[in-house]
Amino acid sequence: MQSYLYFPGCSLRTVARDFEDSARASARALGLELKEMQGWLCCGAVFPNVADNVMTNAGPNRILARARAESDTLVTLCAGCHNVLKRANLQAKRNAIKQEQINEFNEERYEGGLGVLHFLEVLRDRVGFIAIREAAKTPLRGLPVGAYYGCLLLRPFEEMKLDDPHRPSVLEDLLFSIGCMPVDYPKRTECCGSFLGVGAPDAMALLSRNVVQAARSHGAKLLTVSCPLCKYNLEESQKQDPKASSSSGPLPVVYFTQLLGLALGVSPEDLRLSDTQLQTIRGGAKSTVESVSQT
Amino acid sequence: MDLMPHLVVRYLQLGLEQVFDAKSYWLCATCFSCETQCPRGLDVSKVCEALRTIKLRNDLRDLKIEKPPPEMPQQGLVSAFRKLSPY
Repeated sequence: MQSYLYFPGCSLRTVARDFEDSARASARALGLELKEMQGWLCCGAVFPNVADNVMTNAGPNRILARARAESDTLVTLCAGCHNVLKRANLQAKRNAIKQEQINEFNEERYEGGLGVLHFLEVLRDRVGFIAIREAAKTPLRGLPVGAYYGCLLLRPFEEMKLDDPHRPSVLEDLLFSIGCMPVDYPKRTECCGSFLGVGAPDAMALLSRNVVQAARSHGAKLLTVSCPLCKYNLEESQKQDPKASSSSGPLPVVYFTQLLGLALGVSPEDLRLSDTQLQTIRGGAKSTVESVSQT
Repeated sequence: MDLMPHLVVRYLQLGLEQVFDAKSYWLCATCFSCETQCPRGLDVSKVCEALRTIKLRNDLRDLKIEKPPPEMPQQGLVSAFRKLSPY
């Protein structure tokens, strides 16, 4: 079994246990092990945009130094953690003076040499979607899913380089390989409102609602994400606006790993899928099959 | 958003300090959409962060949260404190 060193992050250990558990179970089903790194800590959630503040770089660099001691690649799940760790990793390579300051402060040296991969990159580049298609014992045939990328997975493009920033396809390709029918809709790479939920909840709700409405009006039965904060915002904005979701109930939001696991034959309990989510998935997959066979 | 991003930049070009009275830069969630789309390659999220940081450092204003949203992932709270505190 191939093993990857893996960084969970704070949200995955509390409100987003469904993300971590489903990712590890899906990885196992594909013959991969996600081995938790030792001594991990908070990545800081946002990569410092202010150049004169070195302090905020201490956390991610400690993580990178500790991961480097164990492996040459580090796999992340949360889009926020991925953004921070990948950019801190690049900064170590590009800005020697700043890196020296950080290392002096941390008393834990990190001099680069680690590859930071998102789990989606492992699935795409190491496992391959053809292999996933073959391994998908119970594909979710015809399930109309809206893939939501958000910001941090793709941008800043020059540093993230995970996929095309305007027309990404990695989530859709994964969804195709497990039988789903991904829905093409606008706003799938637009912001969900991020941390604005703290100081400006109305702004957050507006942004998230735009995403949900765009996906719904293009036929999505559920949304899939790779970030706990996106999931929270998309769900919360629908709770605050019962009008928008009165006709068919709120649009459920699941992690891409939960859909992957289900197609690979992992039990819904191990994926922590709620009854409502499972009903939508089963119903969405079935109804499309029926409507196709009728025509 | 009272000043659209291009106006924020224009105010800055003209050296108009009224830009600090705008609400826009407090609403920037650093999603990097502007810089991906700007034909002039402007990094608007950095501009907004700079405005916010100048204001926060001048006023030494700390973010105070009376009641954090109960279900919100820590990620959201940590981001907010990082972005809206004067450090």
